[in-house]
Order: sequence, then C-alpha cells, then structure tokens
Amino acid sequence: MSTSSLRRFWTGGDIWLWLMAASLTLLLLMTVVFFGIIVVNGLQALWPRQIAVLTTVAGDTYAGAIIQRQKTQMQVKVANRDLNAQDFIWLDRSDIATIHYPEHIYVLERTEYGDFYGFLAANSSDIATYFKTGKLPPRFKQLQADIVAVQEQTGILNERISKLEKQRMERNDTSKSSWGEQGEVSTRKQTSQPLQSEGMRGQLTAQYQILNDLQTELDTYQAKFTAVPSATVSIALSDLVRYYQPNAMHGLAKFWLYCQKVFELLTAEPREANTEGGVFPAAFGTVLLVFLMSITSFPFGVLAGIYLGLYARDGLLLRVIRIAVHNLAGIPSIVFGIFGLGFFVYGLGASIDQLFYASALPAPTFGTGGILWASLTLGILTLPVVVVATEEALRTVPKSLQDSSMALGATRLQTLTKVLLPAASPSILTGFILAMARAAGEVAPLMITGVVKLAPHLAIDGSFPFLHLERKFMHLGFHIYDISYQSPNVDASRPLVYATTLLLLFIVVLMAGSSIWLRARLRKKYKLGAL
Amino acid sequence: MRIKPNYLADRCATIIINAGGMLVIATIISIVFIITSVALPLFYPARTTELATTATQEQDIIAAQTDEYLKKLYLMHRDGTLTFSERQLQTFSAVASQRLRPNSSARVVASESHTPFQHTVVWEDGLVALVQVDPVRRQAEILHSQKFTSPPAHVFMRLHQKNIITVSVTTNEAKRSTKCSSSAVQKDQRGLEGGAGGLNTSEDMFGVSIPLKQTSPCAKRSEAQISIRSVASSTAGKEEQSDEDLDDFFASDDSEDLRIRYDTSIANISAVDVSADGLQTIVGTTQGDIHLLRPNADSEQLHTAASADAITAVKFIYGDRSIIVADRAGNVSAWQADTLTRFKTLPNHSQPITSFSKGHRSKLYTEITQHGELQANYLTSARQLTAVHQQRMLKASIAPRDDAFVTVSPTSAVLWKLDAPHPEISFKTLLQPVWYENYPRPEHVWQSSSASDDFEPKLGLLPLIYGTVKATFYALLLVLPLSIFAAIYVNQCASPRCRAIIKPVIEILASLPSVVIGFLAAMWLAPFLQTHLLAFLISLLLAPLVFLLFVFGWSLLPQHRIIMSVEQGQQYLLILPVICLSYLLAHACAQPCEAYLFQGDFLAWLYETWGIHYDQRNSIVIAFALGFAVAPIIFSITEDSLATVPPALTSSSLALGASKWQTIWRVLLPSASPGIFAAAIIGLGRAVGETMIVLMATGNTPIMDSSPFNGMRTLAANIAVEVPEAPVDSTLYRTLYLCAALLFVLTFCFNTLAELVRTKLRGRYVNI
Repeated sequence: MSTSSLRRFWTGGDIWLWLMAASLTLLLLMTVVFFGIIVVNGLQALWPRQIAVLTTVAGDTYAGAIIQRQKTQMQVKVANRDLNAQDFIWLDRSDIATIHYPEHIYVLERTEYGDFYGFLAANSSDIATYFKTGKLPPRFKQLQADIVAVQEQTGILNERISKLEKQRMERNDTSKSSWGEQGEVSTRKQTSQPLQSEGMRGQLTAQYQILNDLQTELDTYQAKFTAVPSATVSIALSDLVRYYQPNAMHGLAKFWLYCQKVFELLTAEPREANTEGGVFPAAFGTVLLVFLMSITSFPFGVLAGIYLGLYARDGLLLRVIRIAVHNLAGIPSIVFGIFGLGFFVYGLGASIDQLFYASALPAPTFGTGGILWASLTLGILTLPVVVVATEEALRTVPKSLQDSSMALGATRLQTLTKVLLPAASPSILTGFILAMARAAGEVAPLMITGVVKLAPHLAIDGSFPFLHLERKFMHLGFHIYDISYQSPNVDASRPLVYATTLLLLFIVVLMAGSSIWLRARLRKKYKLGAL
Repeated sequence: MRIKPNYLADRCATIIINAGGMLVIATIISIVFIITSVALPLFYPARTTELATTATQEQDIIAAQTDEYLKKLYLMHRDGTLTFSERQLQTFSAVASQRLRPNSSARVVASESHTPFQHTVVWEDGLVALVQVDPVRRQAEILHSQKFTSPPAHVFMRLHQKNIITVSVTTNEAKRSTKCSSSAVQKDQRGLEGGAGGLNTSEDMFGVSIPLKQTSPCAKRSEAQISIRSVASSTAGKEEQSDEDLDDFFASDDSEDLRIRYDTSIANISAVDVSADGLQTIVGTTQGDIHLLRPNADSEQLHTAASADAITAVKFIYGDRSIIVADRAGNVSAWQADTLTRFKTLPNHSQPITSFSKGHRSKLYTEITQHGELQANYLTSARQLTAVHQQRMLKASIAPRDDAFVTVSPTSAVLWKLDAPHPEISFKTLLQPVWYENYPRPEHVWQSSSASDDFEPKLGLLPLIYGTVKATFYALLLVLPLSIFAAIYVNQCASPRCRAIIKPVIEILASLPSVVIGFLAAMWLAPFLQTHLLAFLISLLLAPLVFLLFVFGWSLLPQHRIIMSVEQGQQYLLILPVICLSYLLAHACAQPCEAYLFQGDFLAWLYETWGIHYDQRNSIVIAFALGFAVAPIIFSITEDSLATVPPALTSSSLALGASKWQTIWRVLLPSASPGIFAAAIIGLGRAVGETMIVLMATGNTPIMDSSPFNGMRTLAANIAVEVPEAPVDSTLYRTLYLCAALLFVLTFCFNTLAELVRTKLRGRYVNI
C-alpha cells in the first residue's frame, strides 16, 4: 500500500502541481502583505489615537500614544518635543505598573515642535473657555483677519519695490550702451524712481510696525497646559492648528476628525521639515507633471504610432525600428533621466539661458532642473509606451473596415480620421492611462531633472506669466523617498509617509486598474465584433 | 486638373505623418548617441599644441613659468633677472624685467620650483632664496633667504603654513658621507642675511644610531646619525597658532635645526626631492637605492634598492603620497611614500631621464630625457599622454592649472597646451584592479569623492557591475521559479474565473511605483528581517519539509468529490494555511533555537563564529523587493507565451492518458520555452535597471562581497546618487554617462534578444 502510493505520488507529478500552486500562493501572499501593510498603516496613520498615561514600577509617569507593542517593549509617542529630548520612547513592558486613559487629556497640534499632550491648567482664564466650548474670542479672530490683510499689503509693496529695482537695474544696463536722447530720457526717469521707491519703503516699514504690534497682541492669547508629569507650558492660540480630546471622543467624532485630517493631507502645505501637515504641493506637482508630460508626449507618440502602423513601408528597416522602439519601453528610467539632464538641462536649458536670460547668469534659469525638463524627460520615457499602444490599437481594428473605407473612395487621411482612429481610440486611451500611471510613479529620472524636497512656490501662481515652467517642483514619489529615507526624525514622519504612500498607490492603481479593465472590455467587444 | 481639397489634405497629412513619425523615432533612437557622446571624450587621446615660443638672444634661461590663463610668461636668467612677457599670437614678447639682487653680480647656478610662481634660487656665492613671482603685476619678491658658504648640491625651500623650511644636501665625497640638513624658520623672519643658526658644524648632538644598510660584503658597518639641534631664534617669538605637525618636532622655539647625517657607504647621491611640507626627503643614489628621510619625533629612515642602475631623478607627486623614480636605463616606477614600496611601473624610455616635474592639482607629471624629449604622463592610470621634443631641453614646468607646460632650453622657452581632459581614465582603470596610492594591493574601488583636495578619485566600475549582478542574481533566484511556476499554474490548472481575477491583479502589480516598493523594503521589510532573521532562515528549511509532508498526506486521502474539486485548480488556496503554518512553526522554533544554540543573539553569533557582518539593508531584502517588482513582468510574459500554445496540443496529450504534470512537462513547456526564456530575459533587464528600490534598500556601499547579508551598489543607483553632485563635463560626470550607456546597451540587448525569441514563437503555431 505504502510503496504503491509512493510510486503514484512520484509518477503522477502531483507534487509539481502543488509546488506551482505554492508559488502562486507565495506571490499572492507577497502581494497581500504588501498592500496590507500599506493600506493598514496608511489608513491608520491619521486616525486619532488614544492617549494613555503610563506609570512605571519606579514611579515615572508618561503620557503618550502607544505606537507599537512588541514582545518585551512598547514604543510610545510622548510628543512635547519642546520639553522632552525625544518624542518617541521605548518602554519595557514589564516595567509598566498601570495604564489608564484620562478623559480630559488634550492633543494639541501646533505649527512648531509637533504635537503637545497635556491637561488644561486650572487657572487659565477666559481662553480656557475656548478649549471647552470651541469658540474663539472675537478680538482674536479680528486680529487674525487684520494680520492677513496687512501681510497682503506688505506683499504687494515688496513686489512693487523689487519690480522698480529691477527696472532701474535694467535701465542702468541700457543707459550705459545707449546714446543721446534715450540716455537722457532714462536718466530723467531714474531720478524720479528712487523717490518713488523711497516712499514705498517708508510705507513698508510702517506696515511692518503695524504687523509687529498685531502679532504681539495676538501672542497674548495664550492658554496654560500642564504636561505629564509636571511641566506647565503656555501655548499661544495662534500656534495652534487643531486640538482634540481623543479619549473623550466617540467613534463618529473620531471619524469626522479623521476626515478633516485627510482633507488637510490633501490640501495643506507641509510643516516641520515635511514630517507634518499636508502634501498638497507634492500632489499638485505630480498632477501638473503628468499633465505636461501628457501634452508633450501623446501627440508625438500617436503620430509615430500611426506612421509605424500605417504609413511606413514594410521592410527590414521598419522591423528593426519597431523592435528598437518596443525595447525602449524596457530601458531603465534612470538612463532617460541622465539623458534629460545632459540634453535638456545642460544642453537646451543652458542655451536658453544664454539667449534669453543672460542678465541673470551665472544663476541659471532654465539651465537647472525644473518642471519643464522633468516633464519632457518623462515624455520621452513614456513615448515608446504610447507608440506601441497606438500601433497595436490600429492593428486590432479589423482590416475589412479599412479596406471597405478605401474601396468607397475615401482618402487615406479620411480612412484614418473617420474610421480607424475612432475604432482604435479606446485602446489608444488605454495606452495613455498606462503611460500616465507609469509617469506618476516614476521617481528616479525626476531626482536628477528638477524635483526638490521643498519648493517655495508652486509652478502655477497668480503672478505673470502664471505658469512657471522653470521652477522646481515637489512630487509624491520623491516625497516618499525623501521623508522615509532622509528624514531626521523617522518615527515622527512615519504616519505621514505611509499616508502619502497610500495616496500615491491609490492614484497609480486606480489609473492602471482602469486601463486594464478598459482593455479587457475592449478585447471582449472586438472578439464579438469579429465574429 | 484641379486637385480636390480632400486629396490635398491627404497629401499634407502623409507628409506630416511621415516626417513627424520619423522625427520622433529618430529622437528616441538618438538618446543612445547623446549619452555615448557625453561619455566618449573619456577615451580621447591627449593632444599637445605649441602655443607660443619666446624669442631671446641670450643663452642663459634657467626657469620659466606661465600664468593661469596662459597669457603671460616669465623667464629666469642665469644673471638673476626675471623677464616678463605677454603672449601675442605665436610669440612671447618681453614687456618688463626685474633683477632679483640688484647689488650683486653673482650668477644663478640652480633654480627649483615646487608650487607655481615660487622658486628656490641658488646663487654661485652660496645665497639661497625663496622667490615669489607675480606674473600679472610683473614683480618678484624674495620671501626668505639663507647664506651658505658655498652653493649646496641640492637645496629646497618650502613655504608651508607659516614656516619656511629649508632642506639642503651637501655631499662630501672625500669622506663619502652626506649631510642632509633641514631647518624651519618662521615666515616673518625674512631678510637677505636672515636665517637662523646657519650651517655650523654640530657640536652638541644627541641622537639615535640606526644601522642604515650593509651594502657590499667588504664594506664596513655603516651608520646613520639623525641629530637634532635646537637653535634659539634671534627675533622675539610670536607664536600664533601652533597647529602643524611641524610643531611636534620643532618644539616651541621659533627656529630649530635638524640634522640628519648618514653614510651611504659607497654610493653618491644622484637625485633629491622634498615634499610640499618639507618633512619628507627622498634621496636617490648612484647605486640604485632610494632613501626616504622623515625627521619626525622618532626620526624615520626607509631605504630600499629601487634599481640595479643609478637613480637619475626622483620626485614627489602632488599629494606627497607617492614618489616617482627614474634610473639610468630609463625605467620609471612609482613608490608609496609611507612604506617605500613599489606600486606602479610607469611608461619607460630608452634613454636616461634627467628631470621630472609635477602637476599642481592632479597626479600629472612630465619627464625629460637626455635627448630633449618630454613626455607627459599620468600616475593613476600610468598613461602616456603626449610627447614633445625641443632642442637642448633642460627642464619643464607644468602650468598652474595642469593644462599646459613650459619647456625650457638655454635659448628659448616654449609653451605647450596640453589637451587631456580625463588623463586618469583608461579602460584599464575602469575595469581592471588599480594600485592606488596608500593601498596595500591593486584593487577594484569606486570612490569618487573625498574631503581632501589631493585625493585621487577611484573610478573602478567593477564594484558597481558586481553589485548590479549580485542584486539581479538574488532577485531572480527568488522570483524566477516562483513567477514561472505561478504562471504555469494559472494557465493550466486554475479555473477560468480565478484566472480572470489573478491576471489583471498581477498586471496592476507591474505598474506599481518602484519608490513604494523601495520604501516598504527599507522601512518595513529590512527591520522586520533583522529581528526575525533566524525564523526566516529556519522557515527556509522547514517549509519544504512541511510542504512535502502535506502533499504526501494529501495523496493518501481517498478520492472524494471535495478532494477532486480541490485538484481542479483550488490547490493554491489550500496551500496557504500550510505556508502560514510552516512559518509560524519556524517562528516558534526561533526563540528557543536562538537561546540554546546561538547564545541568545543570532546576529552576534554569526559575526563571532563566521565573521559575517549582517547589514540591515542586504541582499535578502533586495531579493524580495526587486523580485516583487519584476515578478509581475515575468509572470505576465510567461503566461502570454503559454497562452499562444494551441489548446489542441495539451488536450490531445491529456486525452492520450498523460497526467497533467506530464502534459505540462512534455508538451507545454517545450513548446513555450522560448517565451519563458524571453520572460526571464526581460525580467533580468528590468532588475538590472531598477533604480529606486536598490537606492533605498541596499545601503549603497560599493563593495564586492557575495554574502547575502551585505548590501551593494548598482550601476543605476550609483547614477542617481552621484550625478547631482558631479560637475558638468568632469571625469565623474562622463563616467556616470558611461555607466548609463552601459545600462542602455545591456538592457537593449536583453530586450532585443527576448523580442526576437518572442516573434519567432508567435509565428510557430500560426498554422495550427
């Protein structure tokens, strides 16, 4: 019995089938673990955690959120970076005597030093009511509005002054080289301008004075908090981003807070060296990058695809070219990046600088990485994808359609625009989406063509010419790389990086998934049509 | 006949599409040419062009140097005058001159230069001066001078930090002994007749006796004496900052004297050079020995036999870590200064070399032969860059930027432009082990930058290629069988419904951003693996056992409807608990194992017992991360190629009574093997070029170590790391482009191979 079953076991090859099944399971397991970790950590990252007060056997007390529990230790976020040396600590689990969750503990999100955990001190007057009722003092609101208004004005003044200065410098340049009348005119203008800018400077200092006063008054609105174990801290209301009492909140309230935090993630600027706040500039940069990439890459890709699929004469050369173009899709992205650096940034960009921005040299304008060069690089990177997609799409259109159109006397152009392209457009679109998904997730070529960890300005803003193609930009993928790999405080940045990762993953998977779903549907449709 | 608008539009469109299409394709294909064109200048041969010559009638030029922009030149004449000239087209015309010692008619007997514009000048009356020349303002100034009773055989003055160090060598042939003395004087103690202590014979000597060498059997025991004598300074000492190693030796006084006396027994000194700080002296003898003297606290002398022939020239190379030595037979070799070991054989000559001169910012040097031929060479690559010839050439000096040199004969000076942008690179330095300065042996090293200026960039590509191969190897080792097996399973065994789900899921995986995978590998997997390494290793052993047991047990089960339904393509679900169970089992085993077998700490045990260092970011992490990135591609292509095999083939095999496995092994795999091969090749190409994952999860250390517990640096990651800091058109920049071109060619070849195989496969079953 035993020997026969062993023989059957070997000759039947069932073990190999099981081995193949195990391989699939392992692959799927890896996938599930991959997505599981990112989704769980990403979703959990912004969820308000309970704040525990831990008392050790030795009598020390800590207040903080328990981040992870391991066999012998637990990691606790004690926050209060201004008081504690470290905002994350490891405690031995055996040392802890009691854990309780006081209802009145506050979590304050601040613009500086990260979160604060503590209790509202008893003696802080009317401002304490804000923390109880949530109503801001009217005067405080007024002050905030005033400050915004004054800041706007100083901004306008600054801009005007710098514009005047720039004009004067340019005029100085031209007057050196110009003759006669022109020179006289410019000197006459020059005399009036310093006066103008002097006046503005006066206004500006006045405004700064006002701003200063308002700020000092604003800073008087402070509330006193006691941290665990004992320190008392006054916290200016103006430094406060948000406050809540996680232990006293019920599920729905927490969910509402969670929604607010997700909204903040999507719309706010980063704070504290990218470890807190939102990722709006990065998301914006990603979208703009993909958009610019699309408008540069897709038309040319389709053109080349039509050429390869319909117009080029068949032969050995075409076959070689086709294989070459197909293979470019598999070339490492860093190679495209270094091409972009050498050709666009140091080649084209440097030439543009010499031709049009010579006055700014040696400070480069286009001769350094920027969103234009990055998107062009990505455009070249995705060009083969688009070319291949277009060509394949044209090939899948039944030959009979093309033939009948030509037989009815339509020109090649008419056949192309009226018959072939409409039929092929859905699968060309699929190729577009796939290319966009790839572009959105690509980081390596961007790192050397203009992405930065913190861009002071968005590439689109209110000042002329509105779209600033030479500016550096932020990118979600690079943001992940930067804050996970180069952050000074890895523990503090972990929630945000997981949330960002989830966001990027969501975008890419959504795009890739939809294109794959679309393609599957189209295939089905064509199969039916062919029948 | 009127052309109809339709046809016109058609014709226009045809032109536009043809032109546009070709343009785009040309653009795409030009990428490789642009990348290569940046990298190619690395291998251009050096060129020399004669820029200009001086036209003088006197026959007494002793030294010459040009300025940084090669516009100005000055000549030093034997009568102690300096002539300043400007370059006009092909000639230099003199515009000013200055006499160094207006009140003396003594002639200059020797001039030696170490840094541009600083010359040690020796007059026949025994005066030695350090002269600083300013070629732009056309003036010269004597920084320091010292009076000897007669001109010493060799004398060197160095301005180092705030000290002026004088090293002089006087030979006494009658006694067959040589005195080499050096002294340091504070810089502010200038003046023609200054100088401390003088060269009086030493009375109060105290020192150590070191037997130097025993040359021939008949020679008597020779001795060397290193004597140290302190001389009080005449000026009130104003110690500013004593931060130099000089002060270790020269104590706190302003001026002190060191005297090394040694007996070279039967040989005479034939060549001497002194390092930039004056603390190392290299001496070559007529017998072919070289001696290195270091007047440190424990006065050190090294000596070795460098050649069978007399030494004709020695020189410290920029950085003072190596010395080049030439003998009378024309052999040139390079020696390490710290151990005095020979580490390079440099381009040779058939004639003796009379003098060397060295570069001021690189390891460039020139050598002049007896017959007036000059050769410019580079130490690191041992490359001969160029050779020029001039009548009665005496010496040469390299221009301040190492981009030109001036050759001097008694009658004229010629300025040569040296166009060698990347002298340190050759195919040999890129791909073969190179013996770098201060290394114990030739090695493959990638180290592109350092904190010090006189650093020698080490651009060996092999560590990077090795890293790339290593990362790819481990990733494919893990993932190639996994994804191919999984693809076969999905294609042959899985139910259509499950196939319809799994295929698109895997395809979505193929488009995952690599930065996300890299992030998870670095932030989650690496720490996880470090804490659970033992459990992981045990599970590698345990899982196959558990698996075999499970499968055997399963085969013993009676044929039941449920069991049959599992075997209709549900095995992969059933195996999941088995895999999880085996890992949990391993996890449970790990704790006691670690406690009893490995003294409670597996990583420490690994290091102590096997000497294996465990890096957190290592090849196992890379295998998983990189594998996870390429697995979907291999899976998809394998599955596609399996799908091209006509179902008729497999069905008939099954109908003939073959089991499922037999059908797969004998029918399906032989038919689809080219496709699977293509899948593997494309996966390989992806793994080779993947950047972000290896950048984040390897630690990026360019080492050559095959241990799976170590990291590596790959070509792609190296580009991403270094190109932002590489100055445009520098050697590093071009080398990185060379890496990129290498990657391009490599992946392009892989992909083309795969593509050819696939197209062939596609045509195979067209008729079935």
